[in-house]
Amino acid sequence: MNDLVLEASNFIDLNVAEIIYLFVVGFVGGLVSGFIGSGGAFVLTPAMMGIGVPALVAVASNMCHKFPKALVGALKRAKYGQVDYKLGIVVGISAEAGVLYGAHIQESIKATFGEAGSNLYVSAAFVLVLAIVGGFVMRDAIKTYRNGTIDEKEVKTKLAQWIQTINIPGTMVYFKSIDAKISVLFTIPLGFATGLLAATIAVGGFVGVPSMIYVMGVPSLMASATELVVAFVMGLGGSIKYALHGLVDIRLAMIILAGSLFGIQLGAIGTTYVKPFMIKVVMGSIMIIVLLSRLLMVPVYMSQLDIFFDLTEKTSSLLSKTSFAIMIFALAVGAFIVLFSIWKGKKEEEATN
Amino acid sequence: MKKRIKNQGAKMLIQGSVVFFLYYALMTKQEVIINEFSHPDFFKTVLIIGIAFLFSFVHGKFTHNFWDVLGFEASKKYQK
Repeated sequence: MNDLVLEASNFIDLNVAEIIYLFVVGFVGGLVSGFIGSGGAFVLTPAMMGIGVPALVAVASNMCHKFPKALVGALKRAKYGQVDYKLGIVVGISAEAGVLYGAHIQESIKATFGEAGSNLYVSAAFVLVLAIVGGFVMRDAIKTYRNGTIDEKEVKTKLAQWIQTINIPGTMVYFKSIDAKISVLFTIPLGFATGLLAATIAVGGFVGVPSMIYVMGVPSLMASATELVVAFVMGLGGSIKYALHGLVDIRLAMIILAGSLFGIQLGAIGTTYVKPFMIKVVMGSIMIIVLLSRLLMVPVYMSQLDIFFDLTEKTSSLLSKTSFAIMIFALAVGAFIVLFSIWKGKKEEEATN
Repeated sequence: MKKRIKNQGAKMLIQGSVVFFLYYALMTKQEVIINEFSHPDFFKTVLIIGIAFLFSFVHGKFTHNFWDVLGFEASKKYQK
């Protein structure tokens, strides 16, 4: 870690254009986070790196903007009765352990295979997780739409129903979001996986929210709101760890926070106008588009490691730029759906009054 | 209703001024941050976390009122 601290001493000078750029990306990221409980971080870190911020400072500063943002979002959504604090804290603590373990794996891979190996690992994790989980979430959203059950109460999966029937003495905890007791022996691995993913691809919510919905049986709106509590717990622990190593550039974190707090307020408001299945639509759409983005980067990193591909510098650069553009597009699609939902919901409400 | 928006508008302006002051202070002290915060110690870590909480508290209130004043409120079924 000491070598990493040396890298951190490169806090960059910021000009007005860069400040505005980070503010805008922060706003869009916050908008999506306020709605689905996570997201945005996968664009913020590369966005910072794009203006010359060292990778670890970008990750650390992103983390330091995440916990205050999640706090504001969680408090806002708690006003709408969407947050299960107890579940968020229980999952958040085990997620913290996952973050620490995930960071350790990252450091080991980087030490063994270098920067390209580490990047390939992150991209492969992105592709694998997003293909499985994103595909499942999207399929569920489409199925709900086709069945015409958008307006009906969400049905718990068979897995969630089964888990709620299992009684392991001494480990049972009552959670208001599911109005039932479940064993923490189920929540701990899910939290750990959320943290592991957060440390790897920066968006633990891509596992956290679906696992709360499909494995624990938490309603979509509550799962996405409770994920903000998980993000707060994870973000606070991660920020302390990074700050102790001098990796947090507080200017960067607070500039992104400036934009993201505008966004998260609006995203949270958006959840009050939509049917629960819209959470799955936005999350699934973003996951599938980001999957395409990361898929493009796999040959680039494989080429750098001399595995199978041998790309020219020009081709690699083109793929990298296209990949980043697709990521921005993913966030823009999410933001568009959120804003459209608010507009449509308000219009419908006005028409009924 | 008009009075409520007027009060909220006034609150928003005060909070906005505080937010502006905080960001002004942060951005005009860039050199101090570049030189000092990359050399970590316990006190600086506490300061960083404290700054994040302070900004989230003040800016969070400001952004809440900002959207309220513009008419972006939660659906009526969520308003008590």
